[in-house]
Amino acid sequence: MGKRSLLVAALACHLALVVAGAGQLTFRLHGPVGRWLRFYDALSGAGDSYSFFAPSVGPQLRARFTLSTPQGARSEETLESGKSREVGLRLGNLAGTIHLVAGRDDLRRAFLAALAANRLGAHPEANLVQVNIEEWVMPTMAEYRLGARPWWRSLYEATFVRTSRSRP
Amino acid sequence: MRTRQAPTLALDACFRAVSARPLAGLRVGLPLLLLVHLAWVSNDLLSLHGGRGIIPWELTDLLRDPWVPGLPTLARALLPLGIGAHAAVTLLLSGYAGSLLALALGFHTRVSALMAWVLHLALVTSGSASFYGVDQLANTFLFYLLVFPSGRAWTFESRSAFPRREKTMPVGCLRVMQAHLCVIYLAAGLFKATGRQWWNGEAIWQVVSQPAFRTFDLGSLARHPSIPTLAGWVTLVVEIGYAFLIWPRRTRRAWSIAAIGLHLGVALFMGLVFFSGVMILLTCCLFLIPEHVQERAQP
Repeated sequence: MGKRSLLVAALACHLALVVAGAGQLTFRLHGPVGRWLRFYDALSGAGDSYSFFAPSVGPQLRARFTLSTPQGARSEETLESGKSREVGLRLGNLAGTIHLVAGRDDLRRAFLAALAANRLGAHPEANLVQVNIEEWVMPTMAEYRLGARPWWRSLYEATFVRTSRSRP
Repeated sequence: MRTRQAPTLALDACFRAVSARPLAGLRVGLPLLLLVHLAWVSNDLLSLHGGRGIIPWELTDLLRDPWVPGLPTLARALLPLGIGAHAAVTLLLSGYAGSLLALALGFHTRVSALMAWVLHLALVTSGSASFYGVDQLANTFLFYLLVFPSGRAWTFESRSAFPRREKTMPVGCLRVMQAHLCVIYLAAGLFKATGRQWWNGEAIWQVVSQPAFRTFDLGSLARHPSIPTLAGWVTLVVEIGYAFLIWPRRTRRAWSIAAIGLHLGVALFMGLVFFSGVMILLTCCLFLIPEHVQERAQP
């Protein structure tokens, strides 16, 4: 088998993986072969699936924070507050990631704690932060015509208190 | 005799020389778009990717494939050199920007492409909590710029002893990228077509109403559901049809214009400017830059 034949075979295999990845078939392979394929997929992008906004559009998720000071002052903000649209989109995906890992209590707690630590770091005057992961509930067009309006529904919430040990 | 010749002819067909300009266009355009994007999010890069970012490395490490190096892996590799985590991230991000610029300009394209791809992959891997589709696409096509001969045209190094002879590459390289782009559109279209929302207009309504994507107040669309319904159908036709109608010469230009129009709409009504920019660039480079080899006229 010549060099050219090998190159064509390699490209054909690569394209077969692209099709398998787009069809979400690669992740069904287990064992060492599956692991090597997924490794190659991650490096080359051959295993990506392209189900953008499909089969249906999922709700937007966000992290909302309610910060309180020892003096009783309260303020609210989201991760996206004051950020550009591109950065806001990426920060919004963080909330989506927490939703994805939420099945595991330890992971959900760790991610929420990371968000809380970040906000307490940005607001040294606050001693308590409540983290809410919320989803945007958008009525259908028919419901909207009948007067229904969108709203944020809370999915998870956790409250974190700054202890004297964690004070900067 | 005929059966022995057929595979040889097929092999030769894969290595037929076509212009290197489509790949060169991608080599110039994609890194420039990634550079603009890097500058766009530069104020928040450390929040998204730093060791003390919003999500610390200890947690992002849990989300990534342990075999694929992330930014923390590379930063930790620099620790023995006395480079701290914060300085390492700054250094790696600067290296990423530098390699993108070098790739776009065509300086040592293979090395630049390797650096750009490795660092982009590291960013995507460690930033998996905040990445989205366009990061995947950029990784895929940076990989192609690395493995295919992307430095044969439009570089400072591509001047040869035969300046009137156009630079070429094997057609197989171009066909693989074109086929991949078609798979992307076909998969995106078919997945959408399996959902009811894309047939009754609700998908368009939901997307343009979400705060993350809303660029205009389009609440009035609810009173005219035929508009989002039609937009949903057009999206399905353009995406599914792309895989078939971008190839014939007679429909290529029309379908390219339709796909570009679709992405301009996405940029305008959903604010996904970077994603749209990458998709438009891919269609322009892979299907609109002529692939036939032109003999340049004598001066």
